[in-house]
Parts: sequence; structure tokens; C-alpha cells
Amino acid sequence: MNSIDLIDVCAWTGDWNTLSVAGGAGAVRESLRACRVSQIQMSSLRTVWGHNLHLGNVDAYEAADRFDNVVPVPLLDPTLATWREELARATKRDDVSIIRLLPAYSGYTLDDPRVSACAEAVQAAGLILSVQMRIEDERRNHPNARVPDVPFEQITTFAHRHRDLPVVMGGAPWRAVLSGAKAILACDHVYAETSQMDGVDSITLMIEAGLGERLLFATHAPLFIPLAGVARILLDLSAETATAILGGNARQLLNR
Amino acid sequence: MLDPGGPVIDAHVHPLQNFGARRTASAAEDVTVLRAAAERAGVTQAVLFSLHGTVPRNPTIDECREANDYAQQMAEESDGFFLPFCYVTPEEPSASADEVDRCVGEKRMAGVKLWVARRATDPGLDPILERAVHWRVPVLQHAWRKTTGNLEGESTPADVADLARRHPQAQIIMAHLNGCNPRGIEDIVDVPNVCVDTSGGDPESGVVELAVERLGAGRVVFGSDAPIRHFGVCLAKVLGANLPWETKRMILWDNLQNRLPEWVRAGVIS
Repeated sequence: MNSIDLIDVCAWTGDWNTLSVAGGAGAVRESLRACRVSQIQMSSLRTVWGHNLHLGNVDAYEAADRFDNVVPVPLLDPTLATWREELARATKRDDVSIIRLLPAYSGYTLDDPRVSACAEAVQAAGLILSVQMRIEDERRNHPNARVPDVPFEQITTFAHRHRDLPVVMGGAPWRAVLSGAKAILACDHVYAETSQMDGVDSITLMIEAGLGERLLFATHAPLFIPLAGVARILLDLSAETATAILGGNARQLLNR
Repeated sequence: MLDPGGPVIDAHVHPLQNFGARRTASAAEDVTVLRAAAERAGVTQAVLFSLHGTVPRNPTIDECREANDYAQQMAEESDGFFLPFCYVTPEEPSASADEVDRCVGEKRMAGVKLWVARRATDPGLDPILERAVHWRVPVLQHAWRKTTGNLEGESTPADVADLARRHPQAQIIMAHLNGCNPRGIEDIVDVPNVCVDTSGGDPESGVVELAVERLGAGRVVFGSDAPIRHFGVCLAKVLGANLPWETKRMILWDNLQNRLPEWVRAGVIS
């Protein structure tokens, strides 16, 4: 396992409304280091519930400047008037590879023309777009802060409209991914991260469905226990397949 | 990192026939596939209950009997790996009490399982609990606190506390720690005959630690809810928790063993 290059494509820094977590960037990094994660793609949680999502991005940038294995994943809200400036801020850095959208939290749908314009700009910048399907199971939301999942089909339809833009589905439950395998495989640029994929043999079934090269390891730390993210891959798969999902696929995508 | 450092008993497992993404052709195949998945994660013994192949929310007593026969068959095929619990319905209290006598008294099943036919506040549960107390076996009661709304017959943690207060001699395992959430933990703090299993929900940080802090280390037992959930992911909730090793071992083994009937402990795989 020492030789495996673990790339976590979805970790966070900050606090959350329904959980008490050690969300400081240093603490998250330590918890992932215990699981031998070598690269951490990190977004900020601080303003997910705020009016201006962009204000939290500084947390991810500061974490990346402080820790050599943390890579910032800026959050973008295409309905904010200043999203182009925020994207420009990201592209000025040489370490940003992924931009993340949180449609359910920012309050828009993926068929909004502003999202298409944003997707085109992200593509033109040569970046990857991650679309978060869920951060938290709706059944566990605070009753006064409910956020339903972004429908899986909405993401695949969006991805099919932007065929030159690599799209990563964030936080997708495994049954949605497995039942939508055809829609994912219809394009060679759609990926799914594994942080919320549970169930006996779920990853194995997705590999059997041809999704092995589309799966990217993620922990969802600090909201989830990092060891859980590693366990679902390491326990069930051959070394070769586990190595690809834990880091090989992400490395290939990031270096494309 | 993923080594539990000793035996692990899982308090909450269903047959693949009920919830598996991969359906199996027979109880024997169910044992082979499910046991292999459990053992890959380090689980050495597992409580098993069937909710019937069609998983009806309001099963008839005949469907419960079929489910129990299937669980019993799996237990026999597994050479002691699976410990069957008897599934019954408070919709039919008297027949369910008889079914507990058949399964626990005659077949030596290890406990009783209640799901979502009626809430735990319903008097239909009382004859069932009385038989569980008579046979000195634990009762595992499903519970959840869903923001999206519980099913009509689905118990909340407060309902489970009510059940436990009505039956202070009963040993009750409240299922689904993560689904019950921090408010649900508070509902059972002062009801010492209820412990909670760690099954169900996502592997959220800090939840097992909170349960230990509020309930004490002796009132938390490991459970997975496999095959709905992954054995290893659920085990990581305990192994990855910020708790002393001794506490983790209690959760993974001792606490449930202490609640199982003597005939199970006598044949324990250690």
C-alpha cells in the first residue's frame, strides 16, 4: 500500500451545520495522512450556507499555500454576478485543476443558461468541473435547512451538452451511478467520485458495468471518516484495480 | 489501519435475498457471498435477520415464518457464523409471540427483530417483548429520525425509549445510530436497557464518539446493515473513531456478546 498514490478528489475544510467535525485544514490533512493520502483536492465549507459562495475559497487557497499536498478546488456559483472574476482568480494560480459547483446549495439547476456559460469558460480554461450531487443525505439534513440531491439525470444531461469538458459527479450514491452507467459511458469525459458509494460489492458491480476507469477515490473528509473511503476500495478489489481508483484514474485525468 | 485486532460481531445484517444488489439463488449461495464480504472486512460473526424476500413493510405472520426459516437455513449453512434473530410483526401480536417461542424456544435463535410495521409505542409490541424477556434474548428495534419524514409505522428513538420503559427487563438494541442522529441519542440517555447499533447512514465523523460520550462505552454495539451498507465502511466508523482501543474492542465484540443468550455465548467463535 505504501507505493499506491492516493489522490482524494473531494475533501473539505470548515464546519458543517449538523455535525461537529475537526474541519481545520491541518486537522483534515492529518486525518488523511493517517490513511496515506498523498494529494488532497480541498474545497471550503465555510460559505456553502452563505449568500456568497466565493468568499470561502480563500480558505482552500490558504490551505494549499500552507501544505504542499493540498490542492485548492474553488467553489463557483454561476448565478453570482462575479463568477468570471472568481474563475479568473482560480486560473491565475498554477495549482487549480478542478472547479466545483454546488447547484443544490446555491439554488439553481444545471439547465440554467448561466451555468452553460460558466461551463464553457471552465472548459476554455482547461479545467475540470465537479458537480456536487449531494453533500449530506437529505434524511440527515437539519429540518430547517433541507437540500434535496441534484437529480443524477440532470448531471448526465448537462455533461452530454458539454462534451469537451471533463465532469466529475461529486457525492453520487452508488445505485444512481450503477443504474446510470450507460449515460456515463456514453461520453468519455464523465467521472464519479466514490465518497458516498456504499453497499456490499457496490464498487465491484460498477467495475463489472464498465465504470472502472471512471471512478475516482474521494473521502468527503472531514464530514466522513477517511478510513471508510479507503476501506470500500481496498478490501474488495484487486491491487491493480484499487490502485487505479485510489489514484491512477485521477492522475490520468489531472494530467490529461 | 483496517485490522480490527480481534474478533468482530456485527449486530445488524440482512440476507442478500432481501437487499443485495447481487441476488442469490439459494440460502447456501447467500451464505457464501455474504460471509465472504464480511470476512474480507474482518467480521467474524454476524447477527442475521431476514425481512422476507419481498421485503413487505407490513408482513403477514406467514411471511415472517418464511423469513425466519430462511435465516435459520443460512445460520445452519454457516457453521455458526450467522446468528439468526426472529422477525415478527406487532400487527399480529399473539401469533408473533408464538413465532418467538418457535424460533427462540425451539430453534434457539439469538434474539428478536422488529422493523416498521408499527411504531414501538404500539401495544402490539408488548406480547412480543414479554416473550423476549421470558427467553432472555435481546430485541433489535429499527429506528430512524428522518428529516424527510418517517414511514407511518417507523419508530423514532423516542418511541424506542417508550418501549424500553414499558419493558425494563428487556434488552433492546436500537438500530441505526447515524439515522437516529444526536437528538435520538439524547432520547435514550436515561433508559439503561437500550443500547444503540452503529449501522445505517453514512460514515459521518464524530458520531460514534458522541454516542460513547453520552451513553457510555458499554451501550454502543457495532452493526453494519449489510448488504445495504458495506461491512468495511461501517467497521471504519469504529476503527476510525477517536476512541481508546479498549473502547473499540468493547463496541466490536464484548458489548453485544454480553447481551446474547447463554446458548449463543457457549458456542461463541472467539
